[in-house]
Amino acid sequence: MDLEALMRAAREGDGDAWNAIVARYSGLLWGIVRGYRLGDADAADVFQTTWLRLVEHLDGIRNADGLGAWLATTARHECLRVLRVGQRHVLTDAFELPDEAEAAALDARLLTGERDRALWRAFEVLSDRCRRLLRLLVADPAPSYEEVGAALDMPIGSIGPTRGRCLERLREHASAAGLTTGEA
Amino acid sequence: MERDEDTERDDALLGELRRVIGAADPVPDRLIAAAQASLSWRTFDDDLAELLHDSSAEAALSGVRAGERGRVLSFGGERMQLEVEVSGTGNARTLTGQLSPAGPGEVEIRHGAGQSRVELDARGRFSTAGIPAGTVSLRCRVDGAGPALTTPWLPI
Repeated sequence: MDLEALMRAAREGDGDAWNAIVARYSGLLWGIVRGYRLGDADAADVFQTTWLRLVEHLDGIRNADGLGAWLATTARHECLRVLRVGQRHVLTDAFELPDEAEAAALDARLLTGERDRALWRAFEVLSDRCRRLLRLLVADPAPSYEEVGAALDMPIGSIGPTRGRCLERLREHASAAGLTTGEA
Repeated sequence: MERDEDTERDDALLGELRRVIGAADPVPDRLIAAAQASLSWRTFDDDLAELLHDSSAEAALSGVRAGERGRVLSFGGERMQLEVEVSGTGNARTLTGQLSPAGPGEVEIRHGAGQSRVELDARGRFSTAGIPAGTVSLRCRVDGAGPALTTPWLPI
């Protein structure tokens, strides 16, 4: 079924059609929330909020081709709102900062190969702009440039060149990290 | 020629990064399950309210920490307005609200763990504790009045 048909079926309450839409865009949305370095609780909230917003607006979105960009824009706005409000942390403990470094270290433990860990670390130290872009480009299934542009509020024309520059940075960091690892 | 080689090199690196990130930080299964289940929250013919005001967004902008008073959210629909104060620490929230125009009825608090119902008194007020932190939407219905006022989903 194409997206148009999936949307139509989902509006009628077809769970399989809805699940197919969820499968198609979950990678994109997760890539967005992780690109903004949200911790687990906030990332989960934004991810869930975005899907619930779509449920709310299923009837209003008539152009199925624009669905991915709509979801991406909604997720970006929610990420920015959560970052502005900082609610989980304000409400739990005003002085507790999210320990992203620790979270990244925990995730990296799941990686077995030394090479994989080095690449992960190299990715983690990229600039926000590069990390966000690459995090999205590796989403499965791969998002369109229109969706990436909506997710990052970036002109579509600059995605390709930025991708090239960011991969170059990643390559540099990876080889530097690789050398350090070898000497240790 | 060189350009093609660069493209190939970039694609290969991105492919490797895709595999590493896919292994280190996949979409959690429980979130996929929650997203799948969210279709059941669909409402029909409700008065969909907009978030008009969020005190914590304002506090963040002015650099003032959220004070003793909780976070205050204001919503406006076509015919009704709702103001809700959110307080509480850890994973439980207390919600105290005022619907106007007032009237007795019921508020459904829809959240990740299901939903809670609480009575709306004759003056349009309600209060409920123990709401799990996370994404919620409130649906307010006044007895004998038209469509329910439903707020957008919002993490609290």
